[in-house]
Amino acid sequence: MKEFERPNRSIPKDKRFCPHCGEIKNKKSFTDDSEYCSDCKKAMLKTRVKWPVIFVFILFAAFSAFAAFLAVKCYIPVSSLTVKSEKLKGEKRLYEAYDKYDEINDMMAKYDDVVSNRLGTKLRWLGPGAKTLGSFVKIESEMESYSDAGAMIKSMISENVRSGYYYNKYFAPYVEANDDFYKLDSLFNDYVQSTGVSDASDLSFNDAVEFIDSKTGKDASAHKKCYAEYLKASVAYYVMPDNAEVVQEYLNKMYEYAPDEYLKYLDLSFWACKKTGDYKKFYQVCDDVVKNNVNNKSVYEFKMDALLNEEKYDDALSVCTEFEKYNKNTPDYFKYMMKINTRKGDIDEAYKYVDAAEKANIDRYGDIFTDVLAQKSISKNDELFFKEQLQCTMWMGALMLLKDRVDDAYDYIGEYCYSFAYYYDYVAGTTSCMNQSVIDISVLCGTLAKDDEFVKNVKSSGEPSQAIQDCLDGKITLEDLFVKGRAETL
Amino acid sequence: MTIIYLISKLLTYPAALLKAFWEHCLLKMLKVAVNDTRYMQKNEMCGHVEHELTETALKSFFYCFLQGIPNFLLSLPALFVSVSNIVFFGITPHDMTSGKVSAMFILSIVLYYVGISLWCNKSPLYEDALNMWELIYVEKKLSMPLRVLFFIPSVLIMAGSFLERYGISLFLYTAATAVLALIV
Repeated sequence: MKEFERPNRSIPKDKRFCPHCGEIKNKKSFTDDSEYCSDCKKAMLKTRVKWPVIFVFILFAAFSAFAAFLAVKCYIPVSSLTVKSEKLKGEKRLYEAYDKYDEINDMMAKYDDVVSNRLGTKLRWLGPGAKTLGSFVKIESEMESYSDAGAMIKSMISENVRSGYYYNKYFAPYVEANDDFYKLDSLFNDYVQSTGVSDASDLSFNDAVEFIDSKTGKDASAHKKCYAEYLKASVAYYVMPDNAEVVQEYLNKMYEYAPDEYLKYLDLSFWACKKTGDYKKFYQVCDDVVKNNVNNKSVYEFKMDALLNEEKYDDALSVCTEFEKYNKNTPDYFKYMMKINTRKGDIDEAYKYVDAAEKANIDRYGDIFTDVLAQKSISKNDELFFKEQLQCTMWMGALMLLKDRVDDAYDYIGEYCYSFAYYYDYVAGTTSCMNQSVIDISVLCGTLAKDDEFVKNVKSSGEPSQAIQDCLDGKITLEDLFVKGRAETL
Repeated sequence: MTIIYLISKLLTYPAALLKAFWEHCLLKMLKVAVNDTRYMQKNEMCGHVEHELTETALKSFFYCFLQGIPNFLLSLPALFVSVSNIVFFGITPHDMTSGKVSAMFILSIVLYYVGISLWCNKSPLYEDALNMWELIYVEKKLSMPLRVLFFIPSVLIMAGSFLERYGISLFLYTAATAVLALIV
């Protein structure tokens, strides 16, 4: 019997026939309620599955298994870190949010190394995407400034991808701000050289301002105008150092244009406020910045130093208590508690923090130094911790001196301050640790402990500041240095 | 609309083939008669297996529900990785930090194709879904607790079948991914 041909148009079903083979219905081959004859029904129940399709399943399953592996090993941890970072950002804890993104970058780099070693280095196997980097850079811009974020992008992002939708959306504004700053700075340096002056203080202020305005332009971006005002403030700082009000005026205009450049503002404004004695705007800027980044350490430190300048010790202590909220047992916290209490004259209270600082941080400090000596790479957090602890160690030494424990101070500073700073810079190839404050405290302790060889070694790195020299010559006392704040480098 | 449906099946050919394969396996397990074993046809049966309508409500539900599970499970990891890369992380053809060609971008596109193909081929034929709905909720051939238990999956199956019937699902999900990638 030939197979029934399916009609190519819809026709009502003729229930007298089996729709499959066209066999007429009769009692022998049909059950009462069956649509098909029994032979067709048997055949329809025994159809064979197309087994070659299983290869499609194997292929797709392989892709899925690989994706599941990637998800578990990499994407779920990265997504979790991204969510945590955004949550911290929402809570205005920008440094911690930044650390999470740093962890993402490190994780991706580590997995990329593993895969590249096996599969080759021509391709980038695992890396953070444009949006992840964009969020990272945005946090940097909120923590520091647009121009710092621009500098970070230039060091992080390859030259051949500096165009396109994602670059223009997430990175271009910061790079532009960075370019504006350095271009204006470079043009101004060329101008200074063209005037032939040997010292910046010999510049004509009005001519310099006119030049800066001519290079800025009326349609410049807010950041470019901000940098122009900052340059003018810097020129005023050099040309008329006795006229701090003029400097402050330009700084205030600068802050209005770009509040994210608060670090540049605070740095110069600290000097101007010390001269004028008016810290009102300074404190307001500090408070505004802290609202957007609750753990902005550098701003807290500026505020505490400003309060110390005004001899408002109790206010400085309450700022330090606020600072402690996100910086419990950190070197900076201990340093400021020692400094503020010393300046207040309460040496015994300050000394309590020497033991607390040693107990909390000296082991980690030593471990990081050991890693640096062994030329192992250290994280940015460890680098920052080391430098902060170095500063804290100086105050620990200073308090030992104030308590007449000269030999203990000398041993402590000799090992944990001078040697650590010297060898860190030597191994890491930096010059950031061996600074004036290290030289000052080391020369002071070495001279008081009568170790001329040590003092000679320290002086090979630089001469101590005038205040230290005056103290060693007997013109001022240790109390004048540390309690009255004559040691400006500490 | 059949043209759009056929285009979507052609674009997701391997997954459509796989879907029909699962349907056929399930029909054999549930002892349902199969009329036509051709998996790909030039009509609305493309990607499905022509068969007798299931008679019992429970059989109908399990047939509609279970056939999509393998493709659904296979699609999840591929979609998670590819959509994360494309929408949330913003993976670009060239890696931003090294400038090299990004293998993860190429892999994301492949995984997205695998994932979206599987995702858009997991629902039963609309007629089967309607048959299931009629048996369970119109003719009420199941007890109340089972009707309540199967309600949400049944609604999802109906919606999925409707979208797949007119080939809307593939274009809808792809467009949604593109929009999310731009706005997130």
